[in-house]
Amino acid sequence: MSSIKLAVVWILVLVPLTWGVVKSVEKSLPLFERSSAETQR
Amino acid sequence: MSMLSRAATVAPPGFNRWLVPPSAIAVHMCIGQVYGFSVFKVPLSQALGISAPIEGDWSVADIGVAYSIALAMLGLSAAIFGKWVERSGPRLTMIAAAICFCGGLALFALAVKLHALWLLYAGYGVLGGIGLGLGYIAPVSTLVKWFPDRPGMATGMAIMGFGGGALIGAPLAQELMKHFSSATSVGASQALLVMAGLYACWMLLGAIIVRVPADDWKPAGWQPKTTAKRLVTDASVSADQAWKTPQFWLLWLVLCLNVTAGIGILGQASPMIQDMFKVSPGAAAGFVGLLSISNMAGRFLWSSASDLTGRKGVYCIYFILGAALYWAVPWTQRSGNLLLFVVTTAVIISMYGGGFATVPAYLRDLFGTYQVGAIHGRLITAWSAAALIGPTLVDRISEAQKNAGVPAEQTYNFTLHLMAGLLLVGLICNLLVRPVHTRHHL
Repeated sequence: MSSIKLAVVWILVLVPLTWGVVKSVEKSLPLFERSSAETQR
Repeated sequence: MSMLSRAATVAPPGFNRWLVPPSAIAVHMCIGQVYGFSVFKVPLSQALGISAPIEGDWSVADIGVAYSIALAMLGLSAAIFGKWVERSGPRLTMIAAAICFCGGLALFALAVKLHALWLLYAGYGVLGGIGLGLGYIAPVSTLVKWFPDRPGMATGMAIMGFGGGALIGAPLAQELMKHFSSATSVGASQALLVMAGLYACWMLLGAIIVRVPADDWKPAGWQPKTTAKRLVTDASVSADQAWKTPQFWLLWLVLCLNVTAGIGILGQASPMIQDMFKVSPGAAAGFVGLLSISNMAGRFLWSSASDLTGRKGVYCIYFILGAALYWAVPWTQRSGNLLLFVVTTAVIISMYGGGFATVPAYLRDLFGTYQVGAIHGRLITAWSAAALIGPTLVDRISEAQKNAGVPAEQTYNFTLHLMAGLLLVGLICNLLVRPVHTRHHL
């Protein structure tokens, strides 16, 4: 029971944090596109 | 009321201490929303005009005052209520933090609905700010007590949640405002109400899970090192006594200077990369997102590393490496290497986050665990001071450089060199930290 409770509470905090990280990575993609365009030039 | 008391939260034998970090992270990732406050500025500056500001709309600067009040209240409330937090225990404090912070968000929503600026300041600024202070210190001091073997990692986990709060709060607010916006509303007040409800659920979840260890509890198989490090004490210093010591004020300066220097980049990140590398506003926003991830990761990684290097050692790394990297940033611009610029600034910001996360463990080393939450609360006033000094300093200098005709891509050079200097002053303060004299011990 303790293991399930542990897994559930960690999932409850890690899901929103992961969502936030994914959103930030998505937002940062234009920066990488510009960097790779520069490298190709 | 008894189930909220400190005594009711003492963990039974066999309690798994790894249940406590999610509780701390749950609270911190909610109150970390304050870092994402800026996403409300533009929509609220046209709350009446909807598509563009009209007469009677709040200015962006007016709205920004609420953020400054909230940060000032964070420091003040942490300092004032620190001893109450230690006495009352984490559960009652987390519930009080949830009421204040989520109540502040609800009043913010009402302020938008009524278009009452004073209510925004009183609600989100004052009440929400008190929630920030209470919610910031309670989980940290609890975790320090649960992880005497790895205090740096423990505080890093909680404070990483605060950094992560910006990553959640900003896009969540944007998605909700987009969902609720209409021809007659920018959707901010509805978005804020939903956020208040969601954050209340997560903060209360944290309050339900949290436990404090029994006084004689130790991790299974762990014994305090007999060859103790010089700066790590097993004695106790009260909060009232701690701030009579030079160590407290040296750490106050260490935190203040580290934060001031970090804000030098964080507060200017978007215009800086646009001026220095001529990138688009979209790419600049991506750079800010990347720095936020780096800020969050640095809180956990650097603070965990401090369990190996010692707290004084890791701050020496922040200050020496930080000063060298600040000095190198203008060079990355001259060499035209955008990737190197991004990596350099990301490492700088990771150490800014690391500075926040390591300081509670540093306090625990010097003053013991007895009232570490209250001492931490008083030290956080350094953050409030830096939040006022840093942006003002950077804005004024950049403005003066532009007015003096310095080319746009070079207007940040002086500021960056100044920040490197501030970090070297911080290094000296850190090197001056010695063990607390036994006359201050209880």
